[in-house]
Parts: sequence; C-alpha cells; structure tokens
Amino acid sequence: MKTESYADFSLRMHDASVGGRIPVNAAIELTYRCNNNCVHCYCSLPMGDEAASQKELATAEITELVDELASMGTLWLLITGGEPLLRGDFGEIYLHAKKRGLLVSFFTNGTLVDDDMVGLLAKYPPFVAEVTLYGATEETYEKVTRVKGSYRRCIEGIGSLRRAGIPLRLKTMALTINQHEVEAMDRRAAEWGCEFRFDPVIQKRIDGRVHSTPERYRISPEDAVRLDRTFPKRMQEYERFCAKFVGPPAVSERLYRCGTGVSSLHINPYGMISGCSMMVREAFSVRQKGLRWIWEEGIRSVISGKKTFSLPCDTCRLVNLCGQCPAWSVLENSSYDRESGYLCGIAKTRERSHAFLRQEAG
Amino acid sequence: MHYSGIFARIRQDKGGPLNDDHAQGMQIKSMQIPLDGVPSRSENVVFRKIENEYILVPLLSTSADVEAIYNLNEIGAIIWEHIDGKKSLREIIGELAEEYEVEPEEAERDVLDFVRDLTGSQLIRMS
Repeated sequence: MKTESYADFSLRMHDASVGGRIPVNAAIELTYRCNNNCVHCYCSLPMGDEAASQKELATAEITELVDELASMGTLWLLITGGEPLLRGDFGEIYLHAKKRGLLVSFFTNGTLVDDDMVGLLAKYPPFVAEVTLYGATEETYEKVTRVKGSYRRCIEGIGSLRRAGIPLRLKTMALTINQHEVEAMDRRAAEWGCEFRFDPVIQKRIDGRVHSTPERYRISPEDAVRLDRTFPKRMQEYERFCAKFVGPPAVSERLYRCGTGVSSLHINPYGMISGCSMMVREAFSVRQKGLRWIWEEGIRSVISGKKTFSLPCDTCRLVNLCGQCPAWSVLENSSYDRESGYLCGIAKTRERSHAFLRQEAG
Repeated sequence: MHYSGIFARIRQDKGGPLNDDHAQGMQIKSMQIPLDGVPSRSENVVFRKIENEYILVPLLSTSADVEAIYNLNEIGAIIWEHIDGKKSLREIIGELAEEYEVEPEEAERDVLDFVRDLTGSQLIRMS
C-alpha cells in the first residue's frame, strides 16, 4: 500500500475545492456561552445566559446541518464556541459528524473534560482537539479567565486527554497580562508532547457589547515582534510565508480578496452562516434560507461584491501579511472604508524588525 | 480497468518515512484470498466522494491506523461499491468484467490486489 503525506493530500483537496467551490472546510460555534470569563474573548457570554441558550440551534437543527454539509462535500469540520463542551449534546453532535465521515476537530478550554467525554473521544478520536492555555501559572491563567479553580481543571483535562492518547494541540492568545509566560507555555506543551502555537492578534467583540473590551489586552507591535523572535520555528515559517505572499497585491475590484466563502464557511450558534466568523454583517440565517441557498447564492454574492472605495492597503506590499480585510474594518471602525490601524501597526513593525521583510532584502 | 495498488494511506506527518511499508506489503501480497469468499465492508469506516477524490474515513481508534485516512482511485471506488456482504469475489469479478468490458483475468487481478490491501488495513473482512 502506498502512503501519502497528509500535507499533499490536504493541498490537493483544497485545490479541488476552490476549483469546484466546495465548502470543504466548515466551522460551527455551538454556543457563545462559556464557563470562563476571559478578559480578551471576542464572543463569550455567561454560561447561565438563558436568553442566549434559547436562541441557539437545537440538536436536530445542527445534525441536519452536518448531514447537509457532508452531502455538499465538507471534509474538515471544526466544532468551537464559546465553550462547546458546555452543551450537553456536544457528544451527540460530535459522534453524528464522525459517522458522516467528517474529519472533526474541536476547540475547548479543557475544563469540562470528564470521564464520559474521554471515553467517547478515545473510542472515536477527533482529527485534533485543541486546548487553549491562558497562562503557565495558576495566577496568570486565572487573571485571564477570571474563574477560580479553572487552571486546575484545565490541567486535569489536558492530563485526561493525554492519557487517553487523544490527538492534542495547545495554543494561547498572547495578552498584556500573560505574554511573559508564552515561552513557559511552549515548554510545558513540549514536555507533554503537544504542538503549541500562539496568536498576538486580538479582535474586538463581534457583538459590539461594551461590558468587556478585549482590545485593552492587546500587546504592542514591538512585543509581538519580540515574541516572533523567541520562536525560531515560527520565524522560519513566517519567512517562507513572506517569500511567497509579500509583494505588490494583485489588482482586484472585489471587496473580499481572501479565500473566504470559496472553500469554507462558518456557522454561528444562532444559525447565522457566513464565509468566516468575523463577517457579522454578511451572514444569512439558516432558519430563513437553507444552507444550500446561503452557500450557492448568499455567500457567493458577498464574495463577488465590488469594492467602491480605496484604501492605502490596495497598493501595500504587506497586505497579505497583516490580514487586513473588510470584516476587520467593520469590527474595528464600524465601516468598510477605513483600514485597521492596529493590524497595520503590527505588520509595519514586523517589516522594520525582520530582515527578510525589508524592501532592500527583496 | 486497472487497480494497480492505487490505494494510499494518508498519514499526518510526524517525521517518519512515507514510503511503502515493505514488510507489511510482502505479507499482504502473499495473502491467499479464496474467490468463493464474500467480502464485507467494515462498519467502522465511512466512504466519501468529494470532487474526484474517493476517501475512506475510519471511525474507531481500533482501526489499523487511527491517524490514517485512505484514498481510493476510481477503480478502487468501483470495487468498493460492488462489495455488499452478499456477493462472492467470483461474482464481483464477473460483474466488473462484464460492466467494464475487460478480460476476467484483469478484473480478478485488480479485485484481489484491492481486497488484499483493504483486508490488511481492516477496512473489509472476508467470510
């Protein structure tokens, strides 16, 4: 029997899905509710929020969506939240997706992993389970989550998943109050035999609520660059990415230039479907329109929409690096026609700091 | 019609070799498969067709290789779809030879190669 690398297979699948416009990647947020109360979260609601719970898709609605996704060609399904394990039907939904032949991953804070869950995952393993660590120490972790005892429960959850041999990765968001422990989190992950990644880019809340302000916890561009440099593997990957994607942007009249809505879609807890989690203005209700209409008509019309204004980003060689997009502009500035100064600042600081990114370096 | 071992196990990269497993390959090649045997698909694998890819996704951790998914070529997918737990290999070979207008010897070689590979990976079982 021949053995093929997963990377080659994945690339082939993605190329085919773009050509045929198949939603080969899908993500579903089961809830925005969470048992943590993280300072930086862009979506979390209290776990006892009854009004939010009432609005969420029911189990049958979700399993029907999963069936439809499978029939439309979805292969990779991410289950996320909020905290998806907060829903009592997580296991039922997860198993349903597995039995439809989807490669199912999920994001969790790890604090609600019990014996039943471990048993299910050990028997029917996920493609990957990804747990977010918020600190390497109890003090820092709980400064982020604002829930006493959450650190201990998370470490116990990770231990249970590891002992059961569940494919596991760890990650963190680098914040003003935990950035000093990112390296320690990486070391801890290595001790546990898990891959680790971090992200320094914090987005504002998608619901515009003012009771929390994630942007207050953004690290400075200089600190983001300092963290880049701390991780040689990350720098190597970055350099490869930049060699390929940094340069004069292709001329395009389209509002959305990324691949969103071409081979991926996103479903929020209330059945609003869009190209990605940040496209809050361009989401369609699956309760009013079917998934197929949303994919074939709704999202298609969004991604083929024309841009009617200009931005400095239109000619910026760093545009693929910074991740600037209309959805970010809306979240940052409530408008498409103003770029995010926050993303721009990080990209330009990286350009000044990393030799491979400077103009004279080619 | 030519199956020719185009059946790939797709494995997440962990730095190990990505070549054929020679020892296992030799063992499978020498496996005797009776033509009167009836192949059945494992209940613990899901068949998917996405665009031009034919994929078998194992469900359980007891599958031969939990981190693997399997990719069939078109001929492999056709053979898979003829396996229903009732027909013998001889009957499947006869059907394929007729449907695709190939020599029975060629159909037999393709089907036996395929069955050896999938039996070795616990994706089908013979009775």
